[in-house]
Amino acid sequence: MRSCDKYQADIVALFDNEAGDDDLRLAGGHLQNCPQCRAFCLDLIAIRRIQTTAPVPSLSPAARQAVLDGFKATQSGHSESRRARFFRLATLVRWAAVLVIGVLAIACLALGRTAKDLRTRLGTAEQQVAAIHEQAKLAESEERQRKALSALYFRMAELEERVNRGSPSQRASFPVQAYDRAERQNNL
Amino acid sequence: MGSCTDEELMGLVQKQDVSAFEELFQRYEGRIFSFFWRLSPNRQEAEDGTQETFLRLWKARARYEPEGKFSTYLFQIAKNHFLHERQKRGRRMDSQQVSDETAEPASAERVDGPMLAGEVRVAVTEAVGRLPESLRLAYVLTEQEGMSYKQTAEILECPVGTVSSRKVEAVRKLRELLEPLRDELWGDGRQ
Repeated sequence: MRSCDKYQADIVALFDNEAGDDDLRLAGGHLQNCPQCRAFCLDLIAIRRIQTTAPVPSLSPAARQAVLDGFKATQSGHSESRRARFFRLATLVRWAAVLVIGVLAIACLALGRTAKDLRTRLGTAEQQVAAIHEQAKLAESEERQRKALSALYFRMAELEERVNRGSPSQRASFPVQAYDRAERQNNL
Repeated sequence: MGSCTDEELMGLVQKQDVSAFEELFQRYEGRIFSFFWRLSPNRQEAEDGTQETFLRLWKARARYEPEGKFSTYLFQIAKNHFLHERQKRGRRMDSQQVSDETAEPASAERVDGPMLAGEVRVAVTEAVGRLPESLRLAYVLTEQEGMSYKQTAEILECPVGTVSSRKVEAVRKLRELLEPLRDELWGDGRQ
């Protein structure tokens, strides 16, 4: 069985053209027997009637103008903000360009200084290498002289041996005899 | 321009057509103003609400989808502004909810003798203004703006059944609020 709440919802829906024929028939039958729902329905009718006759003021011309002015202000504000955004972007780009140029200049300066430095170091290194070469050459020539001297002494020692194995007269005439063997070894 | 539908005009508004926007404003300014007036019978608030609604419509023109009904979109903006303003003022959604304990007596008790027809109308308007906001919105849209439950549900972003139940609840609350005016209500009808 439907409650009065449901019937009242149907009554409201009927006034709002949201109910079907079945709802209308059921609500009509219920209203004949239910004084509460009848009172509800009558109050609804009274409230609706009063409200439809209640005057509603309209937007005043000044307020209408204010709305249109506000809209136009929004529009100009919109375009102004676009302009402002453009100028902000331009300034940003300008500063970015300055920054990039500055960084590049510093980098070039640093690289130039480094290159100069490297060139100086290279020159010093080349001089050092040349000096080492000179020393090496000197050492090599000394070594060669020492080897030649050694070969000479060795040759002299051979000759001495040969002389010693020969006649005593030959031995006496050979000047190397007087040369001390031990001293020669030390010189070597 | 006058023969264009609202949706066609809104399409032009999306292309920055100012005259189309002015045409829409002329078509709907009265409805939006009366919507705010009925929600809260205060001229200044209603004018501010109307202005803000159309400014928001202009700002939110890109979000409008042509598949939807324009009036639904516009009333959604108006409803959102109304609720936003209420929240901004620090009022809770149902702070004005009229319970049995807090319900103020209707205006009839505050005057001596029978009320005039105009006073009854004011009392009814005030009673609508004292409904909880959710009930008031459903009541004003269906009863006073003459919208269907379906369109009201779209505007309020709730199911159709909720609109129906809110409407019935609003009528019941109004009956309670206007109980002291029962004689005047019917008397007004008889005048």
